[in-house]
Amino acid sequence: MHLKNILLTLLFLFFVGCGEDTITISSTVLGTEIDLDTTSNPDNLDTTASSNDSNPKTVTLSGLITYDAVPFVAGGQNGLDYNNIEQKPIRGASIEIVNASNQVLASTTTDENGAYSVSVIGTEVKVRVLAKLYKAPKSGEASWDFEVRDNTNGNSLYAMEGSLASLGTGTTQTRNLNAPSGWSGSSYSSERVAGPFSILDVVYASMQKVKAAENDAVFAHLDIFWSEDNLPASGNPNLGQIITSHYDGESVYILGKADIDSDEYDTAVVAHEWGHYYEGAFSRSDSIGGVHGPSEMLDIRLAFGEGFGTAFGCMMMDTNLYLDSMGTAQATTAVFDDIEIGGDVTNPGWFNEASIYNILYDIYDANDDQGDQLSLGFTPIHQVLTDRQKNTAAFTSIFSFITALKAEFPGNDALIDAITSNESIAPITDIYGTGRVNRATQNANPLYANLSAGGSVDIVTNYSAISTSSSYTVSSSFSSRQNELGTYNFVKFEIPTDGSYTINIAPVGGGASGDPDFYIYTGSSSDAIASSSSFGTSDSVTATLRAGTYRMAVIVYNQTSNSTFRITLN
Amino acid sequence: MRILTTTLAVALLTPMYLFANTAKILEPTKKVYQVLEGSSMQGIEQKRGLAVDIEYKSEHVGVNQLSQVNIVLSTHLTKGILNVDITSMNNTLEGIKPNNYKFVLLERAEENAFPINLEVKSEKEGIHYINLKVSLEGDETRVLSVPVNVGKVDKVLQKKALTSSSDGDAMTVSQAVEEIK
Repeated sequence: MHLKNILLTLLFLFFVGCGEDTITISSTVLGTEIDLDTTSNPDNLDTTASSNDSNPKTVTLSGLITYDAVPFVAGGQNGLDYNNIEQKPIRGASIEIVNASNQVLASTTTDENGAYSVSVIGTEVKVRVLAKLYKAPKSGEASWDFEVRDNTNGNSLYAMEGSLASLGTGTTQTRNLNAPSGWSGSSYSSERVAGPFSILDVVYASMQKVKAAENDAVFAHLDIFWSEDNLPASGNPNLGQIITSHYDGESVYILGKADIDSDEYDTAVVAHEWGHYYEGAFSRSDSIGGVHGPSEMLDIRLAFGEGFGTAFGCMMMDTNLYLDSMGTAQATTAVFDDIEIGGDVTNPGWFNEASIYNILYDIYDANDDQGDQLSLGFTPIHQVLTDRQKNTAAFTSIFSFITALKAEFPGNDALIDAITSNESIAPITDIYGTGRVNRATQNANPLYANLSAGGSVDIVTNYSAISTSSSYTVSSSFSSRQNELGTYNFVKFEIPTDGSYTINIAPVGGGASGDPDFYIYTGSSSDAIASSSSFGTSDSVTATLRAGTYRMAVIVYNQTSNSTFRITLN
Repeated sequence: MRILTTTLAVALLTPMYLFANTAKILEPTKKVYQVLEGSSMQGIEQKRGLAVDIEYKSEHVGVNQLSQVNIVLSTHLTKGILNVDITSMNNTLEGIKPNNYKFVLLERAEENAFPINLEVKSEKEGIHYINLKVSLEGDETRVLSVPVNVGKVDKVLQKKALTSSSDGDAMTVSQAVEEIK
């Protein structure tokens, strides 16, 4: 019997040596129970919960989410400053806590400081941050849905994540995540994880300003496309050939090609493009787009749209400097503009985007200077844009905006006139810019020709020769010519009663040349309700029109001489 | 004897002469797969910059074959000198010599259209780019790129694998720098 107990004990000790720290074993040997307790761990085995621990627990997971923000060199004249990268919070972004099977165990949103806190039941998890701002629609409350996506990789949503790691032994755990810039001293050498989050933060900041003006604003969904491969070539956006940073009426595209032109850290540029989305979503833009610059005489619709974009971008970013970097190491400031300084514009006027952004910024800012004694802030501008400007009977321009501003906030006429005077614009008294003509040279027409039902109006075209050079003929449909002042002629007319009407345009005299097209609009839509764009020297459309005010844009292609065209309304 | 010598010389030299003038040295035939055409002139709301438009044609050719690239820059700015520096992105194209084009802007805006014709080639297949940095003193700068396709060209870029989100959306996920406490 004694020998049996010894053998059992030896057998027991053998199993203890195989790894259990504490073990209770019951053994019945000839009716004797043996309870053994040992805390020894002679082989120093890891006895914490292993990755195969099947007992999930509740942990409060929290931390800070940040991204590498690259500022401009002090003064703004020498491109980006990679020596002073600052970690900034990723605000309002969607957070997911996922397990090894990619299942979402919990989700939350970072706050205005980039902080998050969420309760998780799990064992091993990772924190994933989406380049997404989202709040579900709810009656009476603001809502939004903005996403930064890669147009060169299946339009996929950008995200970053930490490691799959244990939730530890406590009831709380901190995980801080930062999106690195990818910069390593003289160039990008690793993934530019921060790029999408820099863009996202511009959208967050801009959205806050709009919400401050309208606290239950409903923001329509917007995708902002960015890629390290986005470059200034035309062609296939899937290959990064996006022409330039732009808004195409549905989405925003942002350049990202390093050492050529990338805009993810040019925050005023990103805010400018988001401003075009804002204008389309909350107000109305009749802009025809195309290449433009601050010293040109532009179509009034484009001048206002681009002037507004630049002013809006600076308002949203709380800066008076519009900066755009490019070139090797992004060390060149290709565009440097202090939009607080007015009166220094080449060709100032109601057709110049620089004059318009100077005016809008002076109306907005708190700094009184150079004839600017007005400091309205953004809310009044938002009010005008979302109501009177949106519904103006004229094409959207500085005329419609200023007229609306004066009507919405009476008593400020003299102050507003002083600001516009600084840009060589005489006091604006109506939405049509009455008294102005649409060209500085010959064959100028009134900015809006008046057409009456049963009557007619003549417009005179201004022939511009198309250059040819050796074997390459320049296209006859340059948008740079289409979007300059005077290429389109505007007409306004009233329809007295509902009915069927015919609008016709035809040349006057035997020597007239060109192919005229026209587009008719009304109300708060920037889509034409009727148009005629067939080939030939005349065009006509018959449409059912309701009583009201209409606006028309007329363009004449393929001219070979100055010509007069007559428009009739019957 | 002289006649015999002359006859012999003619008899020997004539075939050689005929051979030299009829033999064709075979040169590789350039194959143009396609002529790419593009322009910046689209009605999109673009970011501001120097107001210069571009139109181009570039031949999609084989490896080491010359591609004719025709570019026209146009503007309705009417004062100053347009400076254009042309380079090959990542130096993958041969045929672009050190340059600095200068175009004097004329008062008649419609005459400010400037052609630039290039011949380039590459020993690598794929999409290559010619970059044009266009500037005007006292005004802004714009960078424009012209694609030149060589040999086999992928229709999509080679990018990282995607992850599927909980609602089936495709995500491109990158690694964060993380601190766990």
